[in-house]
Amino acid sequence: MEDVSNRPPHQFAQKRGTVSTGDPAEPAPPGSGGRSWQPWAATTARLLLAGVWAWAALAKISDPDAAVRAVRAYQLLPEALVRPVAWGLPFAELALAVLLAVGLATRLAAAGSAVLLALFMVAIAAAWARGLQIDCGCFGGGGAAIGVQASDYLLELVRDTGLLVVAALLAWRPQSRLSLDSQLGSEEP
Amino acid sequence: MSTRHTRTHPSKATRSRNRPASAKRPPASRRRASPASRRRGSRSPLQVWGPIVLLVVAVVAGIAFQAARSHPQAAQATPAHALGPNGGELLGNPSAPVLVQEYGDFQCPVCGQWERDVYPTVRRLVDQGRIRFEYHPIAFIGPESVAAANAAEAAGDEGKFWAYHDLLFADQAPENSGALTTDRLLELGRQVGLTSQQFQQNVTNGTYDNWVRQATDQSSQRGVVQTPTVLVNGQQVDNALTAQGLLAAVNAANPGGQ
Repeated sequence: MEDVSNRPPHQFAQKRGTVSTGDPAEPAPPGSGGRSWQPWAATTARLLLAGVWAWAALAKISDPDAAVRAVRAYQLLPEALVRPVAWGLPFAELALAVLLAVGLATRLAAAGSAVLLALFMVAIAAAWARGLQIDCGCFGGGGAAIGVQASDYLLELVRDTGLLVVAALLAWRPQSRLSLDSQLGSEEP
Repeated sequence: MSTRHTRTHPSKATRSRNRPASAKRPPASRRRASPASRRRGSRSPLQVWGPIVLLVVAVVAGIAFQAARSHPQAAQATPAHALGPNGGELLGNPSAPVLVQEYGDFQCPVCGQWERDVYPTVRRLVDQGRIRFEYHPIAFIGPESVAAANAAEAAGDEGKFWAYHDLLFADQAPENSGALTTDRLLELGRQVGLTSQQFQQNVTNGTYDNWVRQATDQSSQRGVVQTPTVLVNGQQVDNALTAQGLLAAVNAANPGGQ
């Protein structure tokens, strides 16, 4: 009786533990690829990044005019490039979201995510360094904002750093469950 | 794209599914690819080119899609009373020595605060003939900002821009709260005596919506990236959020005007 009542929670805890050990923030030592949690961790990373990209993309796509103002507010690009970037970038994010969600070309999509995140971080840091007071426009909106503080920029950079680490780890070990890559039989290391 | 010969051998695919983790690579003898395509050989063309093509197509199609959806390209109707392409509304004597400009969004709370704190001083300076004041309606907070600016321009058609402007700020609701319906904008019009068929049509049809969007985009291109942005003789004044700050800037622009 005691055994039966103890078992389900124990199993549950074990399962949760397995997933959390698979936190992509903990780099797996080389040669540990045989661990069963790793493909599931990669799947978690894929879905996390896909969700973030999809959210960011759709928020920006919904208002093309606001996207233009958000890009312009960074004061980094010549005017001729502001519109193409403001309108094209969200669709690149959407494409990354789709690739990551279905697990196609996971390594390429993860590497692309890492590069894009690094570019975003440079842009945010550049805005911060020049004393601009802007909303990053990461998830729609954007442009100048009243009362933007150093902590806001710092938070954005910390968030992007976390996502960048996840993306980099996924690019390093892209093998994941529930992916088209595995269905197509490519287990490119 | 004619690299069909590199398609993965089925038996390899089966093995891969059975051993999904990145274990040590199997010995080369287990793989049938030629030495030239040793490592990349396991990838089908779909996996190599598909994602890249998808990315490029998505970006190009996205730019075209958004360009078609973007509004500021064509403003069908320009309010006749607006000040040229910059779209300001003028208050005061056009030959007053100092020009004070405000870029505002009728939904912006800080603009509403500015209206209470600084605008009375603006009115006084205008009445004294020391400044002329331009209000540039821009709309970046949401659709209600566009609707409000459109209605203000429609009011301006009948010489009541400022009365309507004052009322919009006095009546300000939280951003994008849904308060500024067509009915509400018409009701505000009635409060300042705007009952004409023309005003009702312009408010209902959004006659100047695209003009407002265009003015917003042009302001953004000129570096106006927040509201309220206040300029004195073309110079942005950072501490113009208080009456004292604005007065100091006006005095500095025209030392003899005291």
